[in-house]
Amino acid sequence: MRNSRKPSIFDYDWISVLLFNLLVFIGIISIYSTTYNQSHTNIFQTYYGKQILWFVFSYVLIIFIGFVSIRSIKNNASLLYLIGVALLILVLIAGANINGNKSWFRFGGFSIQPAEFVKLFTVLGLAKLLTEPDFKISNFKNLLQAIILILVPVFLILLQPDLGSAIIYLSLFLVFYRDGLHISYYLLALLIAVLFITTIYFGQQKILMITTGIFILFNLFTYSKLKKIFWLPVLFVFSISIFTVLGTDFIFHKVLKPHQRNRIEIVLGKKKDDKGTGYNLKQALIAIGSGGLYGKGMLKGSQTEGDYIPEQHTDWILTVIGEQWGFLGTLSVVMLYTFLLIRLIFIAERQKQKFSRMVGYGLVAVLFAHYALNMLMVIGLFPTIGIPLPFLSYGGSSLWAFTLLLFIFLKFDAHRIEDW
Amino acid sequence: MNQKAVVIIFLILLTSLIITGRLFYLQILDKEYKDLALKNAVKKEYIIPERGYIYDRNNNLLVSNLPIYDVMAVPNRMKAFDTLEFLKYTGITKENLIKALDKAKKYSRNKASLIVPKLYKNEIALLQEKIYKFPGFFIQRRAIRKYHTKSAANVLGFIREVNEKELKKDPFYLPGDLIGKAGVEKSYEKILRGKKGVKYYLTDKFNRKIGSYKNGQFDTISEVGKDLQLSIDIKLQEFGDSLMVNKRGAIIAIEPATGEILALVTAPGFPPEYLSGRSSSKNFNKLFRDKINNPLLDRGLQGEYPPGSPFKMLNGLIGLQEKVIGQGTYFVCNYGFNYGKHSHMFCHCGANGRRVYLPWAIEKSCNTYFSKTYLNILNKYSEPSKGLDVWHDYLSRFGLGHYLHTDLPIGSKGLIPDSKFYDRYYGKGRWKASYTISNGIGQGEVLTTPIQLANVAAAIANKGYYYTPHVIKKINGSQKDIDTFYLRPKYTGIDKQYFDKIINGMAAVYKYGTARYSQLPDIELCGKTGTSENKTRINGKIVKMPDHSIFMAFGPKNHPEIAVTVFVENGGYGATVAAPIATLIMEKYLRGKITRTDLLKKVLNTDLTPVYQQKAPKNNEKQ
Repeated sequence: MRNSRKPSIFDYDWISVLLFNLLVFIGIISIYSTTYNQSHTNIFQTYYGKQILWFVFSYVLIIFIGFVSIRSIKNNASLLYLIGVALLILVLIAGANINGNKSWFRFGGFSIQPAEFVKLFTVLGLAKLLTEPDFKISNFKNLLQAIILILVPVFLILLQPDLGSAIIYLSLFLVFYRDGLHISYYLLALLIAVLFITTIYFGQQKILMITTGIFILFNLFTYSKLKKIFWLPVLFVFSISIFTVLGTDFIFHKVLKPHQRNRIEIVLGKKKDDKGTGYNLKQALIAIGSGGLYGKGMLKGSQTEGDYIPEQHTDWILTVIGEQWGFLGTLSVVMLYTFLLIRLIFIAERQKQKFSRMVGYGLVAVLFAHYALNMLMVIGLFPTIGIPLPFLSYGGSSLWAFTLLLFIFLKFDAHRIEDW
Repeated sequence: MNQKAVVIIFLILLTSLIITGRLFYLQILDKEYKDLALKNAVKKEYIIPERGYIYDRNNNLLVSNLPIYDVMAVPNRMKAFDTLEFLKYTGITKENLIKALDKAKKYSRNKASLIVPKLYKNEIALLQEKIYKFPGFFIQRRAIRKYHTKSAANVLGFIREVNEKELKKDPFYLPGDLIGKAGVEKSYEKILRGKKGVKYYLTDKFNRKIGSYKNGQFDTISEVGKDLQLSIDIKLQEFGDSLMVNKRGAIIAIEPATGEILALVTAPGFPPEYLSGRSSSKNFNKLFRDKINNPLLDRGLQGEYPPGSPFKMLNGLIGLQEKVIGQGTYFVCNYGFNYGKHSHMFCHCGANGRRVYLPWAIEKSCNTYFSKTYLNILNKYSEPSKGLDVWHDYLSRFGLGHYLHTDLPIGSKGLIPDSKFYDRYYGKGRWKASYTISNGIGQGEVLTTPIQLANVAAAIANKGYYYTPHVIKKINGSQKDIDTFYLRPKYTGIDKQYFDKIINGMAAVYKYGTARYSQLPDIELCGKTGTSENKTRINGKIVKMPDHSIFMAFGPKNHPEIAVTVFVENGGYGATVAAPIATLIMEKYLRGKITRTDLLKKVLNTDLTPVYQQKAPKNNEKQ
């Protein structure tokens, strides 16, 4: 049935919009408390002043989205993806070199990180691919196409190099699951990850012995119960496991850079380096841990005000919340994200169009990866990688990219009853 | 809802739960991080209070504080500056500046280091105005002691930066703090230093202050050190110094009624400011290395000498109390007497076979009378060892043979032998009273310090008791914080009546005896000269040196206001140098002026330096 009414701004999911505004607001307050006392003549030279400016401009983007037809977005998704890839190539050629990373375009005093925006384009491109007629994710050829679509930007971003952003792109594999990819792929990936970590932690020999032991025991068990051995799948999993264990050493020592190796070892507790690589994490834990239940209060955090944590206004913004507002503050932020993610899944599920549902899951995957990895990093459960907290961390590129992605999806949702 | 969506929601919830659990552990369960945050950010700053002033008994200011300025720098906050200008303002050399800056950088880039130490107010004035030209530098005010007298360095003492040992002993001190090292600065350190204040600051990672901690609710206010009023009469002390020019020795003056030390002169001395200010370390080493004059030795408190004749007063008193001599007791003196087959005690009293009675024995310092009295005391008991211990106990009660426990941090015990002493030397029961006969006349094994002897004079003046000599009079204008030990009389165990005879004898010393040339018109003084023999080793040979000149006195006779002991090394007879000095001191104190100008001239003109120059570096003052 066609609905003749043209959707208005009020058809946007107001819960998501509210959560979006709340998170940005918390972010601005937190950024303010890190840098309010730095002497600047102009408020728009301070981080919090700039962030307010980015926030205001994000509404310009929201209004702009309001004028763009959703059909043109869907139709041009592939083109947008290609533009994104082109941008990632261009940044490698023409990007500004900041600390050895070519991740930014610089226009005068203004920088833009294309990797943030290309997430949006990749999500759209992926959604477009997944909704192609005759596309089936369980088809190996189609799966390979989808994987390549994701790996192209990953590869380009690794050249910058920006490991954090690259890992975020891998989260888009979650979309495949919703589209019907069997869970065994994910379990296999989980197995590889577990083996990788345990091998680093316990050493190659022990894990090889344990893996072999489990393999033999499993065969004996299945044989004694079912009088049958599943040779093909068991041998496949076993060989992948052995390959992972044997490859771990090579990847850990030859592929990873020394600082990345350090960060992994610090999280695993194999190394203590509170002055060097581990300084940030140590100071972050002190800030969060000293917050207690209620926190020290606004502008009263000694770690925050003492500027003990580098980048506390960007990637480490959770430390500011943890110190000033305590467990109640961090818990609130965790709940806001969780609620937003579940709300977005709920919205995605009510889409009639597969395209918009896939966009929704792309958004959920990227947002979830950012939220989870950032927090796990700050609380010392994941190696330190440069991933901002969406909507909260200082930075225009990140805020705008997420705003665009969120509101494009919400616009799709507002038009969900239209037959487009 | 789609089953796969549920799985994804479950995944999200699980992740959030892990994050929440970890946050709960970090923020609620684990307390470690709270302390670490404080350690990180909260820095203590101590506010050093001004040290207490020191006054003399007449409220003349002796010691105050002088602001002194250190130029400090924090390397990380420094920017390029005009070196020449800096050198001009501070007056240090380029090499020293470079050295100091290098050292500062090595110590810490974020903490302040000393660049130019101890500049006086006029020297810092220019830099203070231009300090803005030198980012990273700042001026820190400290205080050193300012002295308003050139005298009494031995009483006042000095302050120094604390050493490792003191830091460990008392947590009050932090590196760089000042502590009293001698004199009242040491013994009243806890009163003078006051109470440090503490201010807590929040600092950032560069150790810069960013505000007070919890609005200063844990801060404490510093308390200024308390002022000391000493019993020293600085005019008398300075006068004593002038009398001791070109002599070595000590003058001790005590107020008998209170035990307050009026003057404590040691010679040679040094002005107290010598150990304060910029060249204090250099000066200290100079004084320390001067083993010939030994100016750091307080001869009044530490010098142990045979007391000589003044000691006879004590034997007389003990003899009277023990009733071995009495009203009609006399001894025949014939240029002394024989006390063994080949032993003779000489005497110069001039009695020449006549009977010697008590007051006269003192006037003429009869060796026979007092050594026989001493023998009688010892032989009163079944064994001389018992008698000696009785004698020893009396002397102990006079403050001899052990530390007097004045309120100055140094002193010596002196020596009063007891039976154990001779048992060790001769064997138990294998010595007789006569073996120790020299003790009867203050020679032999007996050693006293000048302050002990002055205290004896005070005890005699008081007729039987004394207050332990001390230099403290008031703390912050009140007596209530003074150790009651100094306010309590100590009794000698000799009855009051026996003192009259001794005092009459001592008065006669001034009237007709050895000190008659020193007597004062109108004021009746009591005194006793002493002459103690001493030898020294010059080029490996033992050579007899001129005697030490000793005088013990108090006055006026009926209401004693001052008790004095003067000791002049190698000054000859007691009457020649020590008695005039003691008399001048008493006159100065009692009258406020000197009428015996002839005596004064004589003392001032006495120059013993030629005698001292013969001496080898190491004195052997003991006989």
